[in-house]
Amino acid sequence: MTAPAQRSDDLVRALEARAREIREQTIRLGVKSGSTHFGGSLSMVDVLVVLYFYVLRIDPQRPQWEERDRFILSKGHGATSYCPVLATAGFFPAGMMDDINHLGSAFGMHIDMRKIPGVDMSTGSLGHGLPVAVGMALADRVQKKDRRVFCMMGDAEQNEGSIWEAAQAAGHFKLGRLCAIVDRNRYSSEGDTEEILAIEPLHEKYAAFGWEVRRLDGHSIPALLDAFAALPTHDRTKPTAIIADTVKGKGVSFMEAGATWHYGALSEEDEAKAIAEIRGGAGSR
Amino acid sequence: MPYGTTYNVDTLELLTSYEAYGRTLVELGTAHPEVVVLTADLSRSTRATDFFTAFPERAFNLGIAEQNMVGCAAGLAASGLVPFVINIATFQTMRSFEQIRSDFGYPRLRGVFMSIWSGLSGGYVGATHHAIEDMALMRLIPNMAVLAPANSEDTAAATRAAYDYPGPVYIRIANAMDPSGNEGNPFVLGSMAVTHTGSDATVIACGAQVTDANRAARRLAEDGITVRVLYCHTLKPLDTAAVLAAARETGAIVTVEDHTTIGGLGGAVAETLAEAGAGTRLVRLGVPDVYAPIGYAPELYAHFGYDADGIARAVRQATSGAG
Ligand SMILES: Cc1ncc(C[n+]2csc(CCOP(=O)(O)OP(=O)(O)O)c2C)c(N)n1
Repeated sequence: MTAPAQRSDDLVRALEARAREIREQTIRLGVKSGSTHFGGSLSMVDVLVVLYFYVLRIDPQRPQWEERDRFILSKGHGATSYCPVLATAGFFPAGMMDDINHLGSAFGMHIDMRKIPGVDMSTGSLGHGLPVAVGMALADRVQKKDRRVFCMMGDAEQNEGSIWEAAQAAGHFKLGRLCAIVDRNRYSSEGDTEEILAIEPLHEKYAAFGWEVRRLDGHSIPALLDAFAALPTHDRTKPTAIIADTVKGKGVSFMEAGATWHYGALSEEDEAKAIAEIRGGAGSR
Repeated sequence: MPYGTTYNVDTLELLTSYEAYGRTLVELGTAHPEVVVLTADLSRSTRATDFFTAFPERAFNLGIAEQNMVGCAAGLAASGLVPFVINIATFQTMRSFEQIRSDFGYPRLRGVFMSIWSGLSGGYVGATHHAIEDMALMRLIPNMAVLAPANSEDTAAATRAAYDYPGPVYIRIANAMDPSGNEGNPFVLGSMAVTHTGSDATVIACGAQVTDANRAARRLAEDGITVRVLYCHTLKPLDTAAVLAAARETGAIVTVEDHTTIGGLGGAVAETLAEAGAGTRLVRLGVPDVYAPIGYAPELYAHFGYDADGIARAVRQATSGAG
C-alpha cells in the first residue's frame, strides 16, 4: 500500500492506459460471447484496474497463494471485463478465453473459481458476495493472517436483503480488513435504481451499520488510489465501504445510456466504433 | 379458445412461451381484477411488460429482492388477491424457497410462481443460473401443483389452469414453440397426454423435452421399435394411473427432463413404480448428480444424452435387454 504522496503521474497514466486496454478487451470478449452484460462490465473497469495492477497483494504465478488478498466479484455478471483483467494480470493466457460459451469452456456468462485461475469465489447469483467476504475476513482472524478482503457489488444488488445481513455482521465484528465497493452506476437491468427500489442514501445506510464510508468518482484513478491507500491497516476497526460513482457503459458513448446496454449484442460495425472511441478516450467526462 | 393466445392476432406469427404467458396474464387481468403481477427487476426479460403496461396499478417491480417479493405476494394473497410471481427459475425457487413453502404452501394461499430459464436452457449462463433443482424443490411442498408445459400454447393453457387451481402453483416455462403432439386436445391439469403410441417402451417427458421424445419415437418406429410417449405437463399431482398403465402395457420406461434426475420427473415416476411393486425397467435421463459445464443448450443436452438421439439410444438399450 502506497501513501498518497507517492502516487506519481506516471503511475496514474499507466493505470489509465491499462483501463483503456481492458475496456477494449471487454468489447472484444463481449462480441465473441454473442451478447453480454456490457454496461456493468465497463462501469467497474477503473476500480478493477487500480485493485489488480496496484493495490492487491497477489501473485498471478501462484493463484492459490495463501497470503494473497481476496477479491470477490459479487456482481458475477461483470465477467466480461473481469476475466480480461485476470488474463492481463497474468493468471492465465488470454487465448484461454477463445472458446468462451462453448461446451467445456472455463468461461461463460458468470465466473467459476474451480475453472478460472485467480477467481476467489464462484458467483452469478446476486447478494452472495458480501456474506462470503465476511466469512473470509473472519477466516483471517482464525488463521491469524493479514490478508485483505475486497468485495465488488452492483448498486441494484444493494436491494438484496442478504447484503444488509452481511453489512450488519461486518460492522458488528469490526472487520477492519474488509473493503466493500459499490459500483454506483445508477442503473439496474431495467432502469434507474431510485425509480425501481431506491437504495439511497447509501452512504448513511452503511455508516449506520458501522462502516467507514467513502464516496468518490469511480473513474478517477487518483481518487481510487487515495481511497485504497487510506484503508485501515488493522483489523478490529470499522470495515470500509467505497461507493464508486460510475457510468454504466463507461467509455463507449452509445453505451452510456442508462440501462439500455445492461445486456446486449454488439454488431461488427458498432464494435469498431466502440473500440475507436475507447482508444481515443472518448465517452463521458 | 386453445389457439388464440399463441398467435399474434395481427401478424399471425407464432408467439414464444414468454409472449404467450405475457398475453395470458393480460387476459386474466382483464377478466379478474384480483390478479396482480410481481417481478424482481426482470419485467422486461421475463416479458411481464404487457401486464405492467395494461395494469400499472396491479403490477409491482420489487427490485432485486426475491425473498421480500414472495413475502409481499403472500400478503397480497392473504388479502384476497391472486399474485403471479415471475422470475428466473433458480432465484424463484431457491432464494425464496422458505417463503414459498411456509407463506404459500403451509397456509395454502393461491399464487402462481412462473419461472423462466428452465433447466439448462440458458446454456453458457453457468451453474448459478442452471435451474436443475426447481421441480424437485417445488414437488416437496405440500399443496403445491407443479407444471412443466412443452411450448407456448400449453404455457398459455397452464397459466389459465393455474389461476383456477385452489392452491399455489409452480409453472416452469420452457421457451419453446415446437408442437407437443397434443395439439387440439385440452390441457388437463393432473393428467398425462399420449403424444405417440407404441408398446415396446414408454418415454415420459416434460417441458420442451416432449418434442425430442416424439422425435426419438418417430425415428425408432422406422427401426420397428414402437414407443408410447407420455407428455407429463403436471409433475404434481402426478398421473400415477398413466405411469402404472405404461408399466403394465409396455416393456420399459424412460423418463426425460431438463433437470437433475433426482427428485423431479424421474424421481416421481420411480417412487410410483417402486411403491406399486411394478418391477419395470426404468431409465432416468436428465442431468446426473453434477453441475453442468458451460456450453450452448443443445450441446449440453447432447452431452448429457437427453436430446432426441440420446433418448433413442436409451430406448434401444432399455429394450434390447443389454445395457
Ligand atoms: C439473485 C439474482 N437475481 C436476479 C439476477 C439477474 N440479474 C443479473 S444482473 C441484474 C441487474 C444488476 O444490476 P446492478 O447490481 O446494478 O449491476 P450493474 O448495473 O453493475 O450491472 C439482474 C437483476 C441475478 N443474477 N441474481
